[in-house]
Amino acid sequence: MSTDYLKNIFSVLIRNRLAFAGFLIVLSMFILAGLASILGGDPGAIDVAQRLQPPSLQHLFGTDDLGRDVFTRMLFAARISLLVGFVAVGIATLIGVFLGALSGYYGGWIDSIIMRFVDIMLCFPSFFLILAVIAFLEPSIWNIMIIIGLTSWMGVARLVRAEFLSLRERDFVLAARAVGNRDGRVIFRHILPNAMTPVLVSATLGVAGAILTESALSFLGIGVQPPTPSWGNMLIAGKQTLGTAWWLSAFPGLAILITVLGYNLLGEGVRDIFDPRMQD
Amino acid sequence: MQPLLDIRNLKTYFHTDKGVIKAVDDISFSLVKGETLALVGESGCGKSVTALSLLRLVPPPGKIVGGEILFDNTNLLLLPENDMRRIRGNRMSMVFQEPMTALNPVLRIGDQIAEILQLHKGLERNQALERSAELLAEVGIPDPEQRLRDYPHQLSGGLRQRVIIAISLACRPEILIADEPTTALDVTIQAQIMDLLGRLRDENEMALLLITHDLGVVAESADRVAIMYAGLIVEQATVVDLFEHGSHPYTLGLLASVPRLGGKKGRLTPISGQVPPPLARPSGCPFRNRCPEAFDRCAEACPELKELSPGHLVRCWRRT
Repeated sequence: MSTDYLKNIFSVLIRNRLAFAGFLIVLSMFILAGLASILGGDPGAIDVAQRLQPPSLQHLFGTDDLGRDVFTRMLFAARISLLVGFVAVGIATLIGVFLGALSGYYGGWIDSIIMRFVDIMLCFPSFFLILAVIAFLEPSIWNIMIIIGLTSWMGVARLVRAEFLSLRERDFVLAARAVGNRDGRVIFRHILPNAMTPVLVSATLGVAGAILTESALSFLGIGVQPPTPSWGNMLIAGKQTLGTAWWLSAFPGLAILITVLGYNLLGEGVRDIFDPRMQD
Repeated sequence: MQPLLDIRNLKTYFHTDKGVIKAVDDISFSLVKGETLALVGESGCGKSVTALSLLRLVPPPGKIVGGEILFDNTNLLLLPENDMRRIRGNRMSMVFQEPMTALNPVLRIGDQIAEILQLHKGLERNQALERSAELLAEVGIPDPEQRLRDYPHQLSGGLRQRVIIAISLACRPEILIADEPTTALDVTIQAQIMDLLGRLRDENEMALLLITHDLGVVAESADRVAIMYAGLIVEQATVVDLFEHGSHPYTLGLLASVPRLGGKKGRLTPISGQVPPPLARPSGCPFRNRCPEAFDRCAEACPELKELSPGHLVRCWRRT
């Protein structure tokens, strides 16, 4: 894509206020997560003398029942959330794009088999599927990413298939075959780049979904395991002391809310930008 | 002279839910090195399907159901797909009708040309890009180095068609199939593109299969002509023979419907009626419903191609 094109996208992004707000939120989350070890200290540093301190200048978001700094732990938790979000969505997008492309390009019985498989996967309530799988595997952060990825590719597959169904009729696809390209090259080099817009939108929205799922799993105690901080397990850790130390749960909860909101705004903004009907 | 490409009794049918559409029904023609054969006919008469059949790229539900395509004495219809792929774009390539849609909108011009060189000639990307610039210069595109970095939407229709021609000529094919290469272009650009194709054919000793419905283009650039109607070749002759002694009623109709400089004034004579829908072709000769000379026999059976004079074939009961 040319630089003009990217510049153009960026200028539309700025004009779309909500999308830009989403973009800023996502960007600042990246910066905060990236600077976690500079802005905060050691997320595991226990100081029992300082336990359950309310927010102050010394401890921006207060301290927990072991005297650990909540702000620092939240910065490190942001890393986990971003990692889970991106890896899980990456896995889902890879699977979805691959299967959707095969399905849409070849059609016929290949399409039927893949789409029935998609239907079957959509039948499972995926959260319970995840719970069941975690019950067998040990709950590690990598297992969580893989499982979230393996249970959320169906939407992408359908989107990519729909794009391929219309793109494969275009002349340039025939032209690509007429110069002797293999099917694989026609699919992934010639058609796929033309089908990436909806994938990008769905991936952005997917990151929000994956972060939510990870938080939910951690909240239930089968996600990221303490002492590794995650917004979900910090939320549950603050439950017992909610009446006296509200800051333990309130800040991680807000972080989840704002992050998910940011990705959703950005995703919908990107969709509007690419939708020709939405342009002035 | 030994023909380079010899098509014998080619049949390409589309098996649809409503019935079998005989898009190409038993056509035969041959192509000699260095010559231009024009395939002429109205929309929907099977010209493009013939072209795609030669490359074995007929879209489903279409299927080649019979005949032989002999290229250098090899029957292409019996080749494994891998070998066929080595021929496409390398020894036999195609120029598409619509320059606006035949280039991939998200790939740079340079990459689209270089790709075919990397594919068939085993060039490295840098070599292939250098060669691409030479090819662009050869098809008359100014400032080729710069154009390599452009995307298709940055070029005009005429320039895009030149790019497409550059792609199709990149591997110096022996046969070039041009499917209405100028239909989508302005008249002035049309002449330039046809000149370019003619020059490149002569320089590379290619055989050119020119698919068109423009008799003006045929008269300018073809050596021989095959007239197609409803999936059949109804007349085949040299250009001179066709324009001077055109014989089939359909050919006469086509010739009469072309305006001529200095011809008599007044309305042009159109061919009455429409091409019959592919699932409702009349019995016997498919042209009989529109033919001013039709008689009983035309409904009974479809005539064979008969030789009127050497190299001049006609499919009509009135002429044999």
